[in-house]
Amino acid sequence: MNRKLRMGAISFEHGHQYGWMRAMLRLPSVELVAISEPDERLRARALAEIHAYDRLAFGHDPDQGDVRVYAEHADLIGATDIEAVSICAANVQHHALTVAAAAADKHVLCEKPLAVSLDEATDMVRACRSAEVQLGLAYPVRHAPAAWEAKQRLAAGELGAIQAMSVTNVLRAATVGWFIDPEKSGGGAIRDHIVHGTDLMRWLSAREVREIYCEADPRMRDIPVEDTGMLIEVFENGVIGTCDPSWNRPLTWPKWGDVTARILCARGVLEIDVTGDYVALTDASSPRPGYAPSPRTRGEGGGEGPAWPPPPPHRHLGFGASMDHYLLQDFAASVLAGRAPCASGRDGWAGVACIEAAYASARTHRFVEVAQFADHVTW
Amino acid sequence: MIARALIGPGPARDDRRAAYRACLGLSAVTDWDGRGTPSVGLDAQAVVDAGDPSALPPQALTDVAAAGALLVVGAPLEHVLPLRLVYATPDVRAGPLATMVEALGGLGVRTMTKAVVLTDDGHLAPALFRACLALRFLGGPIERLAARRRTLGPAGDGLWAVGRHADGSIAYLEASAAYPAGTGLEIFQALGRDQVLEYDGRTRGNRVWHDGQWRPLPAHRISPYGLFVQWLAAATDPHIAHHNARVAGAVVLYHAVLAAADRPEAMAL
Repeated sequence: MNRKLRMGAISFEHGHQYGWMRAMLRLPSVELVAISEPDERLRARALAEIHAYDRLAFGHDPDQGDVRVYAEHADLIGATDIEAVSICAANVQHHALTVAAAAADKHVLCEKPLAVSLDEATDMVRACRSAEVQLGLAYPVRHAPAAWEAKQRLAAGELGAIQAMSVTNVLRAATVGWFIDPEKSGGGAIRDHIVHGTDLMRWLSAREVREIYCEADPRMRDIPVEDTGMLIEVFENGVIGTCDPSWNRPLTWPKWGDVTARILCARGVLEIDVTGDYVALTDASSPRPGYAPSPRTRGEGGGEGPAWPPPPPHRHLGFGASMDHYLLQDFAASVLAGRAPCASGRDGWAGVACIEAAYASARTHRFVEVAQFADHVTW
Repeated sequence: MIARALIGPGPARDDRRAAYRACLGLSAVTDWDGRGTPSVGLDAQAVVDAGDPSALPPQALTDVAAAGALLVVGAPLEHVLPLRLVYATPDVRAGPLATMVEALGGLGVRTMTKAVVLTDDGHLAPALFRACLALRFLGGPIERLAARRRTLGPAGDGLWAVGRHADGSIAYLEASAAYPAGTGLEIFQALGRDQVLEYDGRTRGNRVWHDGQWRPLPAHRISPYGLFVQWLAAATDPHIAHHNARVAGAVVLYHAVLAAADRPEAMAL
């Protein structure tokens, strides 16, 4: 029987942990040993998801002893039967939790962005290397089947060299709670979203970003972080990429957001839309009287957020594969095989470097040089 | 009064020729690449339609000026010349951009405007000008702009610009004429707090499979360029009548994008 990676899920402050947990419960290579979440409401929701899975998988109510539940992250990190953790806390906690987990010999899958400063990112990468544990970054877009296919075609050279790239990772204006509290998030759409598109371009081109120009500020809502932005990214080989990370789609947009890429090559063009596989729903009953937003539709960040309208009459129901499933599968396989995950701490560090350059550019209205890993991180 | 048309090089030459023929008659329209004497007269009653004026030899512009002919251009000229000049603006008369311009009133507070014009015809100047027209008509005046230019291959360059409109919303422009055959596209977006207007040329539903690829079917019985030529033929002094702040703003933007492309910082307009 193949060995399973024994994992713990730390924090549900970022809603992505629910998707990761569902993947952990389903993957044959992972055993979800414990979860930790100080917030009682979030903890209850996580437990409900586990119970729902048990009923689906086993046809009966679960034995609650199967997955341990901690109210304190330190207790999970200290558990000796857990080999790896997934961290989905508010951005400012990534550093402390990752360093603590590494010190306890736990491999770490960290939600993006890796950190809220380059110094913290460097410290996290060093801590994991010193402890000889893997540091994986949650860049799930790499695991979208279309992105994977694109990577293979580009690597095979069938389309020729990349000439230009353009990505979008836009979102409904639904981010609330800690996401829009700069003390906890370290920023808005730039901190939260450029990493997906930028990493996709880095990964597909196998090149680093050298300089960035960015315009960004809150335009969609009166919030203390930017929700609209646009970047020009110049790669080390001169290729130009652009990135739209905005949270500026109306709440009535038919889908949650998007991740798209247009890659111009010497002999063709690749176009990716990870939200492109969908069934269109037209709902004649909308607006529904008495509609109450569920936690999932309330918006990321855990807060109450804006007054949600009823579900829009036109919606896109995605049928694409779960990127979370493949993200967790790759992380578990990498740890069990003793290799680096598809997206490593170095990739997370590069994302933070791009974020810092983008903010500096938005302040100065200049192209700003992006810090390079090899120049800053020595062992 | 326009009696004759000389169709210069540039994008959509077949469409431009057809538009003038429908308006002026078959014998009144001929092609002219700016070299030698055209088969129809070059005089004050002639219009020279230069889809890409940078593709005309400099002497041709001098000849047009000397003849007092009307010059229709798909992109601004590099140098100021004493010409009766009209910028081709078919997009703002019919088609997706015109529809979007009419619908702008409901956007609410603007967040961003995007204009992406990517073609496969090798004529960058008109692709850039169309993007500038779209950005200016959809988003208003631009106050700040940073840009980059890069050669994308033998077919030419690409240009990318990010900046700010006067109302504080973000502006994005992308233009190239170096895309592989059949892969060009247009994306226009005007985003506000209350509404989002988006046009993506890839989602056109009316199409025909021919010569190994899908081709769009026309959305108008008279093409946007045909409407533009009809207006041109009916106007008393089109080179005066067509001037307005938005077209002038697009011309300024066009030159600004080119000028900003080599600079390390944003340029104020």
